[in-house]
Amino acid sequence: MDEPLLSIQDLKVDFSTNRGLVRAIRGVSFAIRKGETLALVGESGCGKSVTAHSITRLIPTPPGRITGGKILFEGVDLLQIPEPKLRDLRGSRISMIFQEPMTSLNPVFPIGSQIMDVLLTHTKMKKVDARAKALSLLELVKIPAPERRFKSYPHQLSGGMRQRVMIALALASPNPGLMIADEPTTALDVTIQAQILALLEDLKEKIGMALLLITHDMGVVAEVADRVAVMYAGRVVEEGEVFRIFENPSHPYTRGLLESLPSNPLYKETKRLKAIPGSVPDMITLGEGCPFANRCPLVRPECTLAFPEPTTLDTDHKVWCYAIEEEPVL
Amino acid sequence: MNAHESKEIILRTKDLKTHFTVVNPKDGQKQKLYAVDGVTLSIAPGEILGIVGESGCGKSTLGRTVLRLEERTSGDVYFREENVFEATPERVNELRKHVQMIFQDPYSSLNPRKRVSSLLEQPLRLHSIGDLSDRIQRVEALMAEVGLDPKFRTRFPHQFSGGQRQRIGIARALAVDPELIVCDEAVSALDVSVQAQILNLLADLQDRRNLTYLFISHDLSVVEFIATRVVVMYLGRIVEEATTKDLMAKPLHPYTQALFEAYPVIDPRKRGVTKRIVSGDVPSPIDPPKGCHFAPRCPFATDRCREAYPPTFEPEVGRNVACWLFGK
Repeated sequence: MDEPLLSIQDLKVDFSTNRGLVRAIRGVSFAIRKGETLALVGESGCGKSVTAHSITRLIPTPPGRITGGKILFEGVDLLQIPEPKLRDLRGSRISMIFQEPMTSLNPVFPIGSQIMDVLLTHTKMKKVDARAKALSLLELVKIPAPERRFKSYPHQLSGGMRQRVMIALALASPNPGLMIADEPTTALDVTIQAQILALLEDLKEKIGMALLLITHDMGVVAEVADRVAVMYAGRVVEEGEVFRIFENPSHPYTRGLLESLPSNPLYKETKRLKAIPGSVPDMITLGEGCPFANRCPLVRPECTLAFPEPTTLDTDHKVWCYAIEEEPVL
Repeated sequence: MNAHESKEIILRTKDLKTHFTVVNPKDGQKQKLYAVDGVTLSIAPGEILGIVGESGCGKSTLGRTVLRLEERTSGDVYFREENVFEATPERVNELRKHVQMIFQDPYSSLNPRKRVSSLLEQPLRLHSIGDLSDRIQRVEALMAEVGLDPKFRTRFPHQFSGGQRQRIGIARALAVDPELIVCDEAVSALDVSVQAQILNLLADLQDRRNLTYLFISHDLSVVEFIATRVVVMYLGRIVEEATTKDLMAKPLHPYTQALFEAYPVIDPRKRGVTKRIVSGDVPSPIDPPKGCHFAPRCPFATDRCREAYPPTFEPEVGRNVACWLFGK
């Protein structure tokens, strides 16, 4: 197998709050190969965004602190390299797009010059070449009438157009390797979401970059992911190839998540959705055991004592659950 | 003929229009925003009418106008054949005992400095229901009914999770024993696993109390689960109306079709299967296109579509579509 492009190993992140220490990430590991789309999926507060922000070291410190683990990008530990070197990587090899593009774009500069800025910072391009390249990027992300839009300010664009500009910015480097997209379509209407997802798919094929997609939406995962890591309360509980996750969900949380979707036809007989009882645990008082134990239909005594080791179900399917071991694995 | 004309009707709107005046920041000129632009619909008692559409389609303004939280520009709203906009302020207050609302964000709709007991007692007090000991009893019964432990009655909203806060919002709406509840994106802010709990609760309450819901949501699968009939809105107008079953089986309006196709399918093996993605953005409700509002994005649009807004056709019994494709 290829050396992974990005490999996160036993990442731990804490946040100090008035109420006490929140251990937001409690030992998360996963890897992304070149050109691959990994969806990091989970509900609010599960730590998916904190994990993504750790990669580019954009965790506000304090209150946040990365307390352990490694983040290897092309073999280099991003947690160890000096800030200027990281800043170079952020603009050239690793880019990020967020849920609300308005907060990431500068409101007082036209979008064209913002893209040119990235090009002038990270390449040795001349101004006139940067302008041409910026225009071609706007074309690449399918912004209609790019010459006219070049001089537009972010507030003059719709939400979908702004997200396209963010993607153009992310692609402004000569050699993009990894794009981290944090809920990129969550603020968009569903017809616009479909456009942006199609654009991302198309660009990945053209450019061959890997995509780390952070989302709460299993529908978006089903549409674009190659592999999936399911997070719950600071832990990855299941990871695997997208078909295995959807066709053989093995962690009780993954199963519960898929079964509770209103688009799951399960309810047509019972007339009621199959909800997961209870709510997510308080991350301050949560102990060392499996964080899903208090809502789990298969809970057993050992679950509350220590988090389980992963069980490999298949070449590309792992699950962290005590209840799995006794089931025959075919 | 509308399937509900012969039956009892709890709420209906007649050519309802709610326009807002906004000021163009560029030239200071006043402009009209056509949030709701001629909506006629009716709801039978015990029915759950889903209102679906993307942002800016006017679904929330419609819900607020029905409750007279917004003033109409023209048209009428009738609650049990009483014109809501001709009622005196005292009468409007009385009507609000019958029509309540559940909001999207329970956090911003609950006073953070009030305990749950007082949040739930307040509507009872405002409508002079019972004496204090009655009201305390009712608060505890309400909490139990929505799945909250009555022993938490002295807590503040921030001490509850998002799902529990929405339960408080539901209990507050139920307090005055309404007949109709307008649910405005009532489960949209919740995580899926909790969303399912709240949807089940709303379905249970509807069964138990024979409530009527006007259920506004941008999420088609949520509406499919809960609603008996669905209205699809686009730029202030109804483009299609049908029973949930009919609509899901065969959407007729090109916009409804585009909306349905845009939803991600929860099956990775079906991804990218000849998906037709509608291009462009929703036009502004300030300056809606002449003719059919969907025409600029519609793959079937003809000159007629661009010139005149289509009337409502009934291509099948009980189905209404505002699209020239169905005109004879």
